[in-house]
Amino acid sequence: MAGFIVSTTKLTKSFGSVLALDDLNLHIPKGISGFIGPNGAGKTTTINILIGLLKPDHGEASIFGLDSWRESYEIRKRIGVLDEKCGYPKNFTGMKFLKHVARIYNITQSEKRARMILNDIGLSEAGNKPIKTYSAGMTQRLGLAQALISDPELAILDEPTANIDPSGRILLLDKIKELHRDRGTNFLISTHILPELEKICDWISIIRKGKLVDQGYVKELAMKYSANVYRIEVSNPQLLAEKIKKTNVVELVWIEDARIYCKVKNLEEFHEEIPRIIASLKLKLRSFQYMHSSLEEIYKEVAHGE
Amino acid sequence: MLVIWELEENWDFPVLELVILGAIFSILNQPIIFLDFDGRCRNLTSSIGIVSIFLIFNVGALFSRSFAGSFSKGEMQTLLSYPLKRSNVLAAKFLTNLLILFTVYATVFSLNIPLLALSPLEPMVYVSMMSILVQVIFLSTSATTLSLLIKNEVISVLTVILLFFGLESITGKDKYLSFSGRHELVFGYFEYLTRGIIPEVAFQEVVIALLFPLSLSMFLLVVSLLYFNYIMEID
Repeated sequence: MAGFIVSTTKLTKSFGSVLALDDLNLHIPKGISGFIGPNGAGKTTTINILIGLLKPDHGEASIFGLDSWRESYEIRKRIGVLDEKCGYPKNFTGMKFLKHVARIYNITQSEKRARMILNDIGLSEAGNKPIKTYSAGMTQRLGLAQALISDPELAILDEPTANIDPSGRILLLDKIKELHRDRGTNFLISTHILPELEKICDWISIIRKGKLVDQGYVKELAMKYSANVYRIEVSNPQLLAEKIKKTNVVELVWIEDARIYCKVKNLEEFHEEIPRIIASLKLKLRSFQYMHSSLEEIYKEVAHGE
Repeated sequence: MLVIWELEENWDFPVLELVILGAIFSILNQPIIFLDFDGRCRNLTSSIGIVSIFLIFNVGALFSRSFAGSFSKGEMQTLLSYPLKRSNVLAAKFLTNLLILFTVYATVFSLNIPLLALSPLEPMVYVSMMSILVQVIFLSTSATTLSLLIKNEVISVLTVILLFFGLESITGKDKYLSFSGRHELVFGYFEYLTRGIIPEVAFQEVVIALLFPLSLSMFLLVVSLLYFNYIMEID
């Protein structure tokens, strides 16, 4: 499909009797995209097919319009990958490993580039130590470094923040945003940590039991799966809440931190009724805000609903 | 570049040192019985048996570690996520391990020259080295194919070692199927050529003895290449 850098069409893959992917039609545009789903949904299988490690049983998968199995070599020149199951040569130091990777990508001044990426990812002090001495978090950072060292057009990251401490995660997310902003690097990120994904992703694809459940821009999905909740701040929230409960326009009303939350039944009537009530009670209105669904809420509804 | 990667990854201390020690032990662990020149030449053949045992262990362990081990450690997945052709990865691993093993064994085998008081230009030493080379090629291609199919390092090592020990036991001194039999045939032919030592060995028999393992090796290598390049999935 035009405009998408990653596409799958009726992608199907089985492992023996287990149907891992079932007619998956995934589309990922340029930008920072999230790929989410419960454990065993088929995310890693999809990624492995995209990078040419697995061959689909039926259907097609492509990156940049190139077939993932037949033209895998051409694709891999333009992408960087952090796979969940990747291992690194334990006897190498981080520096030596990244230098080798830089040479594979034909990067001149491989040592300079390796040093730079180690610094960016927060591993400069551990660069001369053997990889076998690295903690799980350090190994994960090294994985990120090798995925980003070639300045790829698309970086596919499977659980990039796993085993990384909170400050490291902030650093990483900032790095992803910076790379996208400054270098135009596109990202496809598979993760379970939805609040982080929500901060940086433009597009989300949700998969469950090998099938695509929904995909789209985050804001559009938030509107689509909105819980229709409004937040109102007034001078006397208790009084207003009592009045609203007596109307027929809301399903639920509650107060939290001196703010009123209303789950709306009928939007049009709500918009007419509430301002009239506030005016009649002569209350001072401080804010009146529609609450978009968070990614977690969308995920809960879409990925776990029937 | 991949060769250097393979060297630094799989031949780091103490792997190379242990292989060299094993090869030296296999050469030194032979009875030197005859004092005359023909007898000392014959000792080259008797040492081949022990060399063969150590070769089977080394090839089984090293090729399984390089191929099957890299699958189980996730290193093959990492390598194949880079812009590397699968055929280049296979070739680099195969040739690096083959050439190092043969270089070590050939070099250590040349210790027989001073040990047996032979001339450095003694052709039977080099005939024996050629025999070892053919056997290393045969064992290496077989181990590569098995490792690619099995993908588990421990099972691969055990399979390769047991298979080749089993083959050598079953085939005994068969002149085409067993390593010792092939070596005796080739050795006997060149002894007849260089020193007229009977019995005479037919040239066709020597050709078959050399071509049989080499043809099988080429077949297995092509099968491995096609399988790894076009069929093999890695998850």
